[in-house]
Amino acid sequence: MRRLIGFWLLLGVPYSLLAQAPAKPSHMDVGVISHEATGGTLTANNPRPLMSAITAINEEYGWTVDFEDPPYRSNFDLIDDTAPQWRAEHPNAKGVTRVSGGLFKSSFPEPSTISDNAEEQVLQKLVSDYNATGNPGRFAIRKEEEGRYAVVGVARKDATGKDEPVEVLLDTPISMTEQRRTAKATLQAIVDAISAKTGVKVYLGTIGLSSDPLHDLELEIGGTNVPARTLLLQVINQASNSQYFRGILIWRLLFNADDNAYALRLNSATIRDTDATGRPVVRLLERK
Amino acid sequence: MKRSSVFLFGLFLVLLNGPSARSQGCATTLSPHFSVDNSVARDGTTIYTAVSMQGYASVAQGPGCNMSTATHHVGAENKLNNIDHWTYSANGCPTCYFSATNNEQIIGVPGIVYPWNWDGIAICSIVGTFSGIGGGGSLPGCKAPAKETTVDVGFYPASFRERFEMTLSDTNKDTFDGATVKEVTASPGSNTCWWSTLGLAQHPGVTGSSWPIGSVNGTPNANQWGYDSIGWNLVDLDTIVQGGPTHGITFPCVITIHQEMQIQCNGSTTYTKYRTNDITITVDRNPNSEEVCRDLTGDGDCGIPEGFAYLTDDSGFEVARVFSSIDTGHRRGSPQD
Repeated sequence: MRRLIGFWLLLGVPYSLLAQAPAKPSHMDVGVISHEATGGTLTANNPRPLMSAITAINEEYGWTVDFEDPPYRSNFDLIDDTAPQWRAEHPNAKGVTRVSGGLFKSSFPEPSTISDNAEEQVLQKLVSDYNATGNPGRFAIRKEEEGRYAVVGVARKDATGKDEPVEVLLDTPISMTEQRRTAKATLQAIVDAISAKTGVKVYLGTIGLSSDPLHDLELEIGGTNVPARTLLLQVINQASNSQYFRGILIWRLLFNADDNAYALRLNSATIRDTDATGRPVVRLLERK
Repeated sequence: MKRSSVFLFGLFLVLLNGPSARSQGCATTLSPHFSVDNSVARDGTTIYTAVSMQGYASVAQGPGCNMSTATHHVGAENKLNNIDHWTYSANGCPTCYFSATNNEQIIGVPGIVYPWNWDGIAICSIVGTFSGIGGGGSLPGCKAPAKETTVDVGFYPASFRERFEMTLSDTNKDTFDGATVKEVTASPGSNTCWWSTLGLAQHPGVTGSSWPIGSVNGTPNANQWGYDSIGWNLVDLDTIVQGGPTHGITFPCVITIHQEMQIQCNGSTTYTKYRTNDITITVDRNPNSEEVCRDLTGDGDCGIPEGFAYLTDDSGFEVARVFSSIDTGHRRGSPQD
């Protein structure tokens, strides 16, 4: 009898531990691109593997590609991400989740070997490969303006595990009075208008950590029933021509299922390069 | 402008032709563990270059070998504007640690670009040079400051950023007004507040702003520039302090950005480095606070830790607020501290 109890304990205890404390895979912040004679291969291992892949592509080729999450909701797209120690101290608390993505690999032709629309073709290949995996979300490419694309979430898994189409938040037509505001106030007005129109809370995250690229910049932007994306692009393009900032801002619109809210963050676009001495550097892209 | 390389692979040297080994017929393996550092500093138009070579060799002596007569030494080459300079260490035992540094300087003429090559070698008295590490580049003639002083001028609630103003100087008391400074990422930073779904950078870099010298926020001030406005906004700070514990973050957590500052040369599009600063942002919880520092290893400064909390607004959404905003600027190490 004791042996039998011990047997069930051996089976049961590890299972319960696994359920409460999922093993933390080793994630990479940014994907890695390798170059072979047959083309490039991108490897990403991240809860949001496609975003990690897009960041790697941006930094490898100096492209400007924005990224937007779909609003993940089901257990097919989310997993528990609660730290084991915190869980042990708070056994009955809700804990936190994360997007359940992991490894993603894609091979693509080198852009230099493609004659037309190389950027769009490579991005289409990446997104197509991604959508064929079991990773969370389904995505599409949007050409926002010349030389600028967005990878947008267009579907998530529903409660039964089937793909469920979702509205793309930044395609929402919004209205805001055209008046003079600081650039930050303009961005806040845009996310507030999206929240008011859709009922989905959108927070404005940090824009530039080591310095403020908007630095008291004033803009006059507004319109009636204009896609939020259009207004956002207007802010970004004008911000890139200020006295204090000549770079290119890219956005990440990420959904936090625990807060049921999006956060919009703007970062400087960069490219990996080498300086005159051969030292590897991260160079900021500047508007041409 | 610092490059360091270490040889971690074994170098097999068969010493059959060596004078001491010839009579004995032995084989010995030397594994070099050397590195070369190089650096450039500026003071006005003077360019200072330094190259240092240091390290040691592991020796795996074969049977019948006698290394007792061998000596090693290292050399550092600093070839500035095509004029070669070498500094060598003293001779020592084959496994001894060696170091040699060569310092040079030149008065740079704005608009002229000076070639610069560096090299470090390790030399054995029996087999000659057995390790060499080098590189090259170019240095623009450019008037640049030798010193940058950072002063915290206080917390700015409207953008939730700590603001700093900087003063540039050099030995000759040159004016730098009219030129522009810009920030670039010296190397990827670190972020102990990070978890994989945070949405913030694990290895943060700079934003890429630039500032005219000669004014601070539009007000004329000789040899000054600013503001450098640094910090997270409240939404991200709240995400860190509220989500951090459940994601295993230990508080206080710290974000470090390696900010390289460059100055425009002679009104051209060429910029040259004059300083690398560490920016640190320390986030704590219970009570919640953010402390921003710029260039504390140099002539830098910190803001007063700024408290923050969350409230619920009329619409039911939680909104962040600043606890207090008494920070109107102070100088670390001043009597106010």
